[in-house]
Amino acid sequence: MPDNALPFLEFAVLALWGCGLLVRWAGNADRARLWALVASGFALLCVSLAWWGLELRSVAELYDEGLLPASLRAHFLVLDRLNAPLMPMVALVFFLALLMTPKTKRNQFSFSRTLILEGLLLALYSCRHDWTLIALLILVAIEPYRDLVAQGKSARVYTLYMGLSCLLLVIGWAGVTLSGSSGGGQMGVPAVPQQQPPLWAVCCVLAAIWIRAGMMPVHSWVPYVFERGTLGSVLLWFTPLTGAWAMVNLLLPIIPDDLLRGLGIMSMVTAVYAAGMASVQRDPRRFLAFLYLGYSAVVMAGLEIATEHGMTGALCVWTALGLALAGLGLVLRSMEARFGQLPLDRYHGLSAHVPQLAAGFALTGLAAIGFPGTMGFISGELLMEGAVTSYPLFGVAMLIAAALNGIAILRVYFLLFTGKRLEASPLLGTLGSERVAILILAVVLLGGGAFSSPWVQSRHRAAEAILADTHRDQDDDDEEDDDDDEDDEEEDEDKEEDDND
Amino acid sequence: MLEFWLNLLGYSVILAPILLVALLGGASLLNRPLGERVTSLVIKVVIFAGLVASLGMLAHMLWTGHRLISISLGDWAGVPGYHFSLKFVFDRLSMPFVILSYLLCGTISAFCVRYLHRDSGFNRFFVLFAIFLLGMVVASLAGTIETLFFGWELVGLSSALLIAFFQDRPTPAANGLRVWGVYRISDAALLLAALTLHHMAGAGDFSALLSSGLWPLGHAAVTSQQALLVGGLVLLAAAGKSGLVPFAGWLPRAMEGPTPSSAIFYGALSVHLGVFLLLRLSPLIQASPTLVAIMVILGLVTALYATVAARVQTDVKSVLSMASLTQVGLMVAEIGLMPLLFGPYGLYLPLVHLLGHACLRTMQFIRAPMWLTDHRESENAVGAQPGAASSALISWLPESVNRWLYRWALQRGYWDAGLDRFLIDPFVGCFQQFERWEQRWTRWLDGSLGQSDKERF
Repeated sequence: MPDNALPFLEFAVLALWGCGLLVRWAGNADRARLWALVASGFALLCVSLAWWGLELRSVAELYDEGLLPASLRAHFLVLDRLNAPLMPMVALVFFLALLMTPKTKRNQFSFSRTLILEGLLLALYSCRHDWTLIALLILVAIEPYRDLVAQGKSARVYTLYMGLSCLLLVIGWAGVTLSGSSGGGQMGVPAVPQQQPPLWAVCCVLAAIWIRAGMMPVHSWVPYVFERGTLGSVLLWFTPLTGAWAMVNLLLPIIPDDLLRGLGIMSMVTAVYAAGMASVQRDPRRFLAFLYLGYSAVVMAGLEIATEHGMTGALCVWTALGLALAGLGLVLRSMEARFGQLPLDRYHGLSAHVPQLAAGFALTGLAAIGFPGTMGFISGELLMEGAVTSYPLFGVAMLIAAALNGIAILRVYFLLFTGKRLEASPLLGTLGSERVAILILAVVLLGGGAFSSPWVQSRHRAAEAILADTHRDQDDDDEEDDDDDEDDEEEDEDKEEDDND
Repeated sequence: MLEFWLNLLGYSVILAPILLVALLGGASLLNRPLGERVTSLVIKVVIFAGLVASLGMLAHMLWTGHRLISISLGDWAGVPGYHFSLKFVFDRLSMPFVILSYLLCGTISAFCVRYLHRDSGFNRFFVLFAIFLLGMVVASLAGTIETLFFGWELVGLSSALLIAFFQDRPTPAANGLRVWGVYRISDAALLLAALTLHHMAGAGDFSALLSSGLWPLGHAAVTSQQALLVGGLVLLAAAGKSGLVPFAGWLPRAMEGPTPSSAIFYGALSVHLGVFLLLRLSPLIQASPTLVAIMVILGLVTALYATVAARVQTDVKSVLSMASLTQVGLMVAEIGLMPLLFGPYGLYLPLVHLLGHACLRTMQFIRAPMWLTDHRESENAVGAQPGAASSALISWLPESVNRWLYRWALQRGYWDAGLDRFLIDPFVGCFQQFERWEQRWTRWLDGSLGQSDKERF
């Protein structure tokens, strides 16, 4: 079992949790933000180095040889080809969110909870043990509830949906476990079932993930949470797409093909529906929520296509669009901090005040629709290529969704940044930290677009490994069938000899 | 040695606009926009370098008799079974178009430096202009349909954002969004065509699709039905980009942008990109007689509509936009008819038509703000006012028909009204109803049905 040169993942998680506890005694919001930035930056560095090590050594996975006992290393804090770029993506989004936290929001934004959430997400992504994965999914789901309650808003809708999702997940996986179908696995797929689990259990797990990923018709909680929660916290919770992660690790190995196809169809319907809804919104937060729903749906659809190109495209889109939409959300958050609510029923004329934010919005918005030259372009092409090959209607639906999203984003851009210039006496210009964050996003989104080849190939290797693992049972069954046939032939030969005798 | 210089020239043609975008866009992102003088110098140098390089390539091709030179920048990204290759071809179609692009962009940029002097949007204009130039060069020289799509999208984005250039007024923004919406339909059609072609031919390479690879010769190795499907998508893409019916309504709206951008986009280059696409894929379209017929009819209907509409427009830029559209319609019809009448070499006619029209219309657009002055000067030179035009559009038609035709032309064929009534309004109405249902559902779940927004939040 190859080990990391240093236990990078342990360093990252422990630094985040440790600082998450210490930050409560920071004294003031500015100091808390500084400590949080340092911890988050350190975590970003660690996970990036871990990824780099994985690529340098050209291995399928790496374990942390740190504080964890040897018996647990195969189950926790494991770096593999699937999660290796996702963890730096998550860490970068958290870092940028902390960097861009405006002063007016620093007293409301909980740096402590943010760091702990980041640690939980990194632990979630690197977990191989199925029940621990489920426990982490449930723990992570508590954060939006706490945020809504802390804001004094009703959390009933969220509790209903997410509570049901968690309950179904536990019941379903209990059914899978009791049927003897779960166990340890490799490549981020903890369960390669030795036998097909009961259909009711699979359906429970499917329903749980369906709700969590915000697929139609159980998606209404997503815009609800976006509207009422702290925008920064909501973005950080949604961007990693824990629903898609649960799908890859828990559902893909056990779901029959027919159900997978049905899930794919609903995902595409959700993508088109979300794109249509985004283009008519009058609230920027709901607009963002529907963009996120579309993003989740497209990734889920790509995973469900279960072909090399489709899955490679889905894995690429997961990272590219995650960064782009997080960036878009952070720009909107900065706008809200300055100008308050910005209804999308009139022109606001804000470009002259915040030209860098306007440029940031345009850049991240274009990356979110897969504009040429950005990180999302090749991802989208691969995904559509996979979709058109397997299910042509999927490809058409994806094109429609992409076209509508493009119209939605430019519509909001024009509404926010053009029109009669807002007359305001206080300085509303862009802060230095915001400019740095937008620059980082620009470098990543445009650089990732220009030099996408190594990254696409690494996603392709991850896709190959996922597909190989989910089809591994079938290959084993075929070998067993061949052995049985050989045994039968030998028995027949013996019987003939006996008859002859 | 010769090959070294050839490659250098070829790379220079492609890399010049990339360098321009990197310099102007990068400086803006770093919040250090270049001053007017430096911007002007950078643009002049880069465009001049690109023009000289492209003329050098042309000279080489004429001297050696080569009709096709390919330059490949390798795979942008690829996995087994799918490659996105960046390939550029210099042939008898791309060379004139890229030289035209550099020439006209250079001329317009020199004009703009003075036209937009001390305008607050000076830097923004030239960043978008650089993106446009990059898009045009990439689309002109594209050797694969994916590369062409790359340039196509860049042109569309810069076009929409430049229409909304005067962003203190809401009308330019609304018109920019409208044009962007049409472009998205066009982009979707082209992308679908690209993916379908990829599957049919195994590659998006034009030389693989059109066997002999030397424009205008070429034969598409596809069946008539395949050609109808893919060619139909290509025609839809071209119709959106070039403003053919039923998308003709966007072209006058695009006149909201600054006059130089109207000249370069809707007089010269962007509006002809659809025609260029049809020229490039003409062998594919010719493989389906049905599609050829549709294309010819579409072109002629567009030309007829535009020539009638041009006569009643109330501002000079709208008149010129309709005049452009008339010629574009005729070019589209020529692309369908000329190969039938004169064989593949008949495609030179629409190409020459395109080049001449682009130059003339650019000049007319640039002179548009001076129209009244020009008119008075010509009156002074002649010594009399020109004779009054007939009040009837078409004198041999009855008066009532003329009146109806006048209203129809003034409303620009009601194309936009039709799109609004049958596409946009139902779509928006439907999704707004979904939105109301969703809001109602979540309010019912959280028990706030009947409360006001203030109480809920």
